[in-house]
Amino acid sequence: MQKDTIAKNRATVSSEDSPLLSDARYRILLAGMIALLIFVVLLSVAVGRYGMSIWESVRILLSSIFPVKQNWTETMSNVVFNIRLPRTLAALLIGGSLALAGASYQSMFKNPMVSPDLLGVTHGASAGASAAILLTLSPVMIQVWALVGGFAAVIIATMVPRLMKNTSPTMLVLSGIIVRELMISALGIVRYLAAGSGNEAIMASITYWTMGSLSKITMESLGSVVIPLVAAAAVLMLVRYRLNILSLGDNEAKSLGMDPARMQLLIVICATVLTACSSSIAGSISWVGLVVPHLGRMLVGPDNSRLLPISYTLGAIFMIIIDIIARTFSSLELPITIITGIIGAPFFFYLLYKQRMKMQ
Amino acid sequence: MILETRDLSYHYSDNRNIFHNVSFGVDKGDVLCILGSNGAGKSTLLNCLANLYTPTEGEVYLSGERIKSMSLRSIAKKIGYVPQVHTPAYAYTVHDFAVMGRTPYLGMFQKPSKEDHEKADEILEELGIYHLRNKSYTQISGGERQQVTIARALVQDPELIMLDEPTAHLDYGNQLRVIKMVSRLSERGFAVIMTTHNPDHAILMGKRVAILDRDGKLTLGSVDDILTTERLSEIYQLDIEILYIEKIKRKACIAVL
Repeated sequence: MQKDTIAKNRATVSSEDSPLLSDARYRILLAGMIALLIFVVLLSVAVGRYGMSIWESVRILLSSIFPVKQNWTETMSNVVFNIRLPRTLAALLIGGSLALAGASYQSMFKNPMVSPDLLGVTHGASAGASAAILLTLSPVMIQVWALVGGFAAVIIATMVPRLMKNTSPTMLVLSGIIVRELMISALGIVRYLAAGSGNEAIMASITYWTMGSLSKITMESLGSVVIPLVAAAAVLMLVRYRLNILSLGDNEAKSLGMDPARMQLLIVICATVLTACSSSIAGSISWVGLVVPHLGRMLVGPDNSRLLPISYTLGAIFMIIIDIIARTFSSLELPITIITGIIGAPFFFYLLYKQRMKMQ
Repeated sequence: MILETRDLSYHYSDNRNIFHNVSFGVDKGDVLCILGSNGAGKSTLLNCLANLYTPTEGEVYLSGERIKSMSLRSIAKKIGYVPQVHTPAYAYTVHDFAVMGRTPYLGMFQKPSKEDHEKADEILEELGIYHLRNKSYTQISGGERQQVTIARALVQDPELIMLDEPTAHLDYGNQLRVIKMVSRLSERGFAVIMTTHNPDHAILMGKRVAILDRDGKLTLGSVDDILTTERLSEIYQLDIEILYIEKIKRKACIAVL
């Protein structure tokens, strides 16, 4: 029995000795992922109650740019442009953003066990957004409140370890659990108050925020978050090599000529904006920010100059597929978080199982 | 002088002196080994020299320039700092880890260039650890990890290399392998400052040695002047002999118990 385990350990070690992906193979992998992303985007536009072939969906999409001979009904084109396209683009942006935020938090906090939802940022943003809905504020204010909730969560989560003068990875994870539960309770209070108000519409709307859904995305709501989502992602992509240095710890970053505090602030702001803006239009979506960066690391290794682009693409693909399942699985829309949990939890178990030898 | 200190002092808020009035200089090819008992503050002193901590009083000068007025980047181009061995959170490859030494030469949005990658490989080759190139840093032994961290410091292209207890947690063979590597660095013209627990390592380096005592006083001089039977017995509170061993033609530090 013992001998078996030892032999197995050695087998794991030697297989991991193989050289990492070469640059060329990394580029092929990334290109393949982007091709897959384009395919799922088209699939997502084609699939639904008004079924159409992928080819038809391509023709309808192209018709907005090129003159294409129309052989589809107005309804079909309506469904594509007003419902499915905004939804698909939202899934792409949100999945990519959450995965990117997760990968950035993980490197910055030198801790592979953190993510936007485990730090409480997702739920903080949802609590903020729900409170704004309860107060019947404008969509812009909903976003502002989501940002306030998200930043409040990340500030508390990082303050607790400092207060305890224990900055170990475990303490941050525990602190994240505290904040997450606190924010879930805050969300509960808002729901309770909404139920008391007797306003069915508000109640339904807040439930939607709690479970995560893309069903209410319109071009307008998407338009309100596109700029911060793209800008924050672009900044993270630009400074991604610095995440490697930060992941070594503050003193090592300093001795390599980098001011860790300033870079950490920039990265926390960008990652929190990504999470909060995603939550402000789609509610709390768990798991994506944790699982996708781990999958990315399995594919391309921990170097953030490769990990961030691959995580964004994988996150986008993952979210679009989840959304396709959410709206086609039954006649009733499934909340996103239920599906991300059902797929994410066992998948994360699998990842942990595969990496169990490397865990300390 | 590559590095010079003037009246350097450090004390905690409860006024406990870690060290006071430390003044010395280190030049090209110099080696300074800092000895001291556990908790004497060797690492604190080294961290002050490397600008990782700020001394309570006094100044550190790097090639004549006040270190406080220099940017982190320009300091990192002069000082390569080798921290104590530890396991990072992520399994970077040895090559990727070494390339990170180019950070002070990169702009905020830049990645290492092809030349930077070549530079890292060259240094791994020079140090005889190129075969580790593709292994992940978390999977190699402590001794190998220490050598890889030294490689990263060299990739920084510094004038001065500081090592914080480079032999801690290493087995006997690996300790000496690292000492040999450090000794060769000084022959190549780098200035070296290192902390160590082992007086023998200072003897092997054969240059200058400094002892930090419990009162925060730093006594500095040549190995022959400083490493005496009396002084070491006092510092470590044990009977310790410095003997000349004919067979190996050098002094050695031996505990009597």
